[in-house]
Amino acid sequence: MSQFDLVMQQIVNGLVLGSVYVLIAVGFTLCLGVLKLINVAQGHFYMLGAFLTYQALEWSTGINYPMAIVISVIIVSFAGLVVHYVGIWPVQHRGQIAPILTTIALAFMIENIAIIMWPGSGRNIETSLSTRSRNPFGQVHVTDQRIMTFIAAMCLMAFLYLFLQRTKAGKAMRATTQNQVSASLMGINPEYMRAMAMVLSALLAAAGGAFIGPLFTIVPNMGLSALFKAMIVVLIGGMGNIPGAVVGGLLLGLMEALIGGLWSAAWVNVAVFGIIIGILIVRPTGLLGSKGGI
Amino acid sequence: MAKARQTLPTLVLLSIAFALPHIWDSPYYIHLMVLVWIYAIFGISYNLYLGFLGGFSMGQPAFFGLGGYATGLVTAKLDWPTGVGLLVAIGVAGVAAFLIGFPALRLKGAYFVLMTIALLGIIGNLSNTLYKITGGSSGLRDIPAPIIGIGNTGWAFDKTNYFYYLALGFLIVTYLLVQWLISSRIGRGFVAVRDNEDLANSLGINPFRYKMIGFVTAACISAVAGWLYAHYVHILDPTIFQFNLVFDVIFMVVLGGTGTLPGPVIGAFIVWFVPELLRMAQEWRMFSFALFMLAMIIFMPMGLWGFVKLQQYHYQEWKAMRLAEGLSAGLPSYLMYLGKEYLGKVTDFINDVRTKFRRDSEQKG
Repeated sequence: MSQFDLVMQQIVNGLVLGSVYVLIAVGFTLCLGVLKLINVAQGHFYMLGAFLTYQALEWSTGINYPMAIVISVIIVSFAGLVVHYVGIWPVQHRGQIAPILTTIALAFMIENIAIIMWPGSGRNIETSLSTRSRNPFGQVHVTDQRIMTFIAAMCLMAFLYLFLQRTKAGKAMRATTQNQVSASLMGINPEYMRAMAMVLSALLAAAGGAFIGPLFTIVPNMGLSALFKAMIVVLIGGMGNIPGAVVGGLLLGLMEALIGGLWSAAWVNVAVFGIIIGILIVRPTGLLGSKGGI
Repeated sequence: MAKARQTLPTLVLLSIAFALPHIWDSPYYIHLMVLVWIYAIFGISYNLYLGFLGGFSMGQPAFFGLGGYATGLVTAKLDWPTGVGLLVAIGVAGVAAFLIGFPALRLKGAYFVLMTIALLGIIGNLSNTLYKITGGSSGLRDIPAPIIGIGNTGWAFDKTNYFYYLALGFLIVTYLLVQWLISSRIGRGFVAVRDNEDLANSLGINPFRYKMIGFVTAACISAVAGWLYAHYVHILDPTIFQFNLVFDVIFMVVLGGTGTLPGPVIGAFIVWFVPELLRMAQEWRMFSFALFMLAMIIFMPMGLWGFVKLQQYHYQEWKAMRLAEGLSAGLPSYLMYLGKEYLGKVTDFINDVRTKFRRDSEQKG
């Protein structure tokens, strides 16, 4: 395998990984925009999405992979609603820190349920997509699962964009992000918008988890590191900025794959955290501008 | 009179704390108590920054671990005395906090949180990657027990009971130091910056300088806790940089009472002893602990100590009112009054929910 092929392989892997980061991070930034809070449970929705996909495939042989994704996404969306009404709604007028704490507690609860339900050293989801491999150019190997992940993530982003730009609910959500008081004067119920943003972000994270399941071994404690990835993406793209999150997610995926593949896997996290500190020192409001709004 | 009312419980609690290793004959619980004291020191340092300066940092264990690793390296690998190790730990954490403070303390809100997470992430990962120095994931071993004496000879705190008094002593010193700091001019500056940064700035208090003082002091105290921890457990590995310790310290401060002095100490008890009480829940233990924390945050916004203080305040107020009316003001009648009050609150809440749902269904229909 030549050096060029190695780089191309890492770029392809990075884009696939990045598209999953995009899904988690966009939900996170949506929460940040509409609810004005850091949702610590975001990474755990992703973990739950992956495990519920696995579980749905276990339940019955009649359920195929797409059906499992739908089942898992629906259940996790409901979990998002529960997290909103149990953890965020009771403390939403109590400043920035209280919702962070309640979502930390809820994230712990989700993680411990996962540890009890799926004990042992992690699970693998097996689908027919993950075995077939293509060679689009040179010696680069891409499984169908990876292609599907990238395309599905981008399609979800396109749907989200259309939803926010074209539908009435989406416009109402954008209005709530910009100014909650004016939005409620225009007859928008901010309560519904908050709940909806929460459900949407849980849905996107669960989809990310369902796509990542066949690519990597899934473990109950993968939620937290995914959350930090989402935070990094949001930092690169700017808070509450969805196009920024898409670019940031793909950039982070590329960065990780290239550093890990060409330098050393052990130094990936050190390098990534170092880059964050660098960004924060040079541009304290994010790399791609600080304009709020979605 | 008011002073006597405070002094007596303090003395009683202190004498219980000092007598505990002799009256409680359980090595396991004395071991837990040592950890409680160490965590309490750590909680006090976190509270200094969160409670009195209002900065939400998620990277405080970075300084705890830095202190621990610094002393571990110089005492285990270079055979320096443990007392020098303490100075090295404080120095390393202080310098690190000073350097990271320059960019970090200018950031606001979520960006500051991110910066502290990145700091913890980078230090935690370095402790793993630089395995030639730190021992990597198998840990830094053979950290000696603290020794009083010249060089490496003298009397060692090598038993749990001895170490108990060392940790308790450090806690008392730290507590008094922070109490002094908070009541000094600097401490009033902290509270001014926390409550309104712009106003404090316009009054000639430089917010950045006060934040820096608080941040560096908190880091140094964390390093003291890290020093105690390293010399108590004798082994350090990168797991102390994991986020469990962040969550432990945050919950310790918040459940005990943010911005109060005894809060973190009470919180340290909660964080170590409530999971012990929940042992009967077996595999659901951590789940029920998380549920307990959730309930505490929702129903006791000011933490346990804040809750106690609030109740005390309410009682004093009620007593003054009753005495002014010429009625009896004993505790039993106060409890009766409280019962009625809470019953009223519950009915109010139920009515609120009912009207909300009625309104919602009207809107839909």
